[in-house]
Amino acid sequence: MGVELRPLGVKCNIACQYCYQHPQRDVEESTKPYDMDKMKEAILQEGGDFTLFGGEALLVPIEDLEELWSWGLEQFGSNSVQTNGSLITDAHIAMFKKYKVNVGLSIDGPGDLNDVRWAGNLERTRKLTQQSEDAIAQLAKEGLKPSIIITLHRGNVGTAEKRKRMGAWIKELDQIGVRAARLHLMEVESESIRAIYHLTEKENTETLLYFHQLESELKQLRFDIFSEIESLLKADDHGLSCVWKACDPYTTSAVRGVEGNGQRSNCGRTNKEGIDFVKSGLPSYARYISLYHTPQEHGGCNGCRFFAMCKGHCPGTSLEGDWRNRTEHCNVWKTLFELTEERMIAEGEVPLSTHGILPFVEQKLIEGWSQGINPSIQSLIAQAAQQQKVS
Amino acid sequence: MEVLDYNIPPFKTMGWVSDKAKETWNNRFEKINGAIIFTTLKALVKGDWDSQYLIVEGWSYFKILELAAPMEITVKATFLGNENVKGPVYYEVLLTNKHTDPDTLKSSCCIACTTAIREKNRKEHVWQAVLNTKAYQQEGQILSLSSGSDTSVFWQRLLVTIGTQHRCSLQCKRYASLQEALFDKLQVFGYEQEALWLSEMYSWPVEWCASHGICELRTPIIKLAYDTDPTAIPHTIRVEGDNYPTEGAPGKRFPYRKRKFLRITDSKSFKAGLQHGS
Repeated sequence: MGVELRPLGVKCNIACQYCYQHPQRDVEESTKPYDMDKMKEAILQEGGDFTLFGGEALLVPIEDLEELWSWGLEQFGSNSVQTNGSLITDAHIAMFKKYKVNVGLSIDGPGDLNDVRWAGNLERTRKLTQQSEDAIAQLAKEGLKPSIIITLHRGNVGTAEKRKRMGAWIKELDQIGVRAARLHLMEVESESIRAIYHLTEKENTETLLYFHQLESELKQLRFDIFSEIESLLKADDHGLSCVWKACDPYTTSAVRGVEGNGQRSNCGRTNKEGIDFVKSGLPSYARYISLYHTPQEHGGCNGCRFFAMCKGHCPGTSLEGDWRNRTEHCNVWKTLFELTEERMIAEGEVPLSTHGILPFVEQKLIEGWSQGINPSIQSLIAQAAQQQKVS
Repeated sequence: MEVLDYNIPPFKTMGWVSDKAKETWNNRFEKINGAIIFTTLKALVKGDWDSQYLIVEGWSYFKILELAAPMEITVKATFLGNENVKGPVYYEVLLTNKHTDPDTLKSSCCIACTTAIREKNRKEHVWQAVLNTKAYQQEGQILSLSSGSDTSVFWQRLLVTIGTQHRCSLQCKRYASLQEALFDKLQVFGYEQEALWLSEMYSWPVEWCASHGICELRTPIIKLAYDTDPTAIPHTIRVEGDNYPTEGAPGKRFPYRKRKFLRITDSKSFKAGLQHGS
């Protein structure tokens, strides 16, 4: 869990229609100056390596990028950047190599499948998409192995034809050496975006299952969500994504944001007001105690056998945009859990969701959260094993 | 208001809108808290008041104990919550001067209301208090109050507040005169600046929203979440304000000051993208 450094806040060279940072962009001042010393001091205080983030991280002038990455290499031994890839030049690539920069690239598909990542007009959008595609190819050629983030929506997987083209593109990425891709279900910030781009539960589920099937045809590229669901059902929650880890929206422990002026901030996914709230002190797990008890018809998770694993998912995707509710993608995740559970049982395994230890795990999670602790499932299983040994 | 059958353990978590807002107002909060405590104690010693209730957080309670003893003020405290459960600690403190017996005090509508709510094991009563207020507007589960209502109850988790924990209405004449008396005495005892800050805060727009046992209170400079009664659906109270602080943030929703033009989503080019996507 590292630091997300945002020297230019959420400033970006494109305006993806669904971007979860638009609430901030809509109301914030357009450009804020950044202070190198304050940023470095804040990173050191946060005590970890950092990912250069945005908005678009590569809008930072190249000489400042060099200063940050040379410092990052010296301090932490490597660097990371998350970018849309459209601004990557040979000079950037040289710096990625020199300063050991791991590159994460957000793109929703080739050509018109990426139109939702809108750059003001169609011509510019397609041009920048092409630049992003070229950057992926160049990075792969240089052996830099970028990881890809793909958000799913009607624009890229809304029809069987589009899904097929996405599949072909993924195969190409696999061929050129991309090893990891993360699939995001679209987080909706406004009803107009929902109406145009959001997939139905059925479409989201079918799409994820399509990619799951596709994974078996790929040489090396893997989508992490499928393996994560299986790990959770095997009671192994070590090293999984933040969405499964009972994230507190006031502290977002997986995202320790540092702004250009050194101010600490939270993950933008939970920011619905458009205000970059200063990170709170200690985390609270009230959302998870509440979801455990609240009936499903009221937006909670009461009685769901997958709750200990899913925990209502990311608060940024909550029903009605209210973090006190469970995720609006509940049925999609539930279907994936059910299918994986079914397969595991068929293979003779006992998933956590049907295991006799589940009530103990749930009880211990609630106890921990009530005391401000967020125990891992793994640690609770170990605790149960220890207790059994003693008795 | 459908209340579900579970209890969220006590908690409080806060988010300032900016470092600047925190630097400015955190210090002011401390000064206001000190001013209310000192003013109340001095008014009791002087005999302006025979008794007074304060709602205070744990550390303030111990400060009051320390200050009250040499002034011959009796402190009778009610712990608000469950002493066996870890979390933030609040007290309702009844202070009486040496001429007054705390056990023979007359009851009032606020004391009766507070007792009744506690007997029901409820944490808050503001929703009903607004429903008992004459001038509110209702749209579904959102109640809107005009400015001029008593908003001090919303600040109980952040500031020392005067009066009992609960009140039956937010436009109670008795409460209005109590607040008025507090502001007068703050000035008399040399806390003019603190009185101005407090008065300013009470005139800001505020949103209180309870759902699933978690209340989220939004003010222009800080938002906080804390435990409340577990309702099945969100219940929201909005108090329209007269003022907005310099340190207050612009935002996309109430109570934050909205921009007339949203830089991205109102722009022509963004709308052209929507048109292309649809």
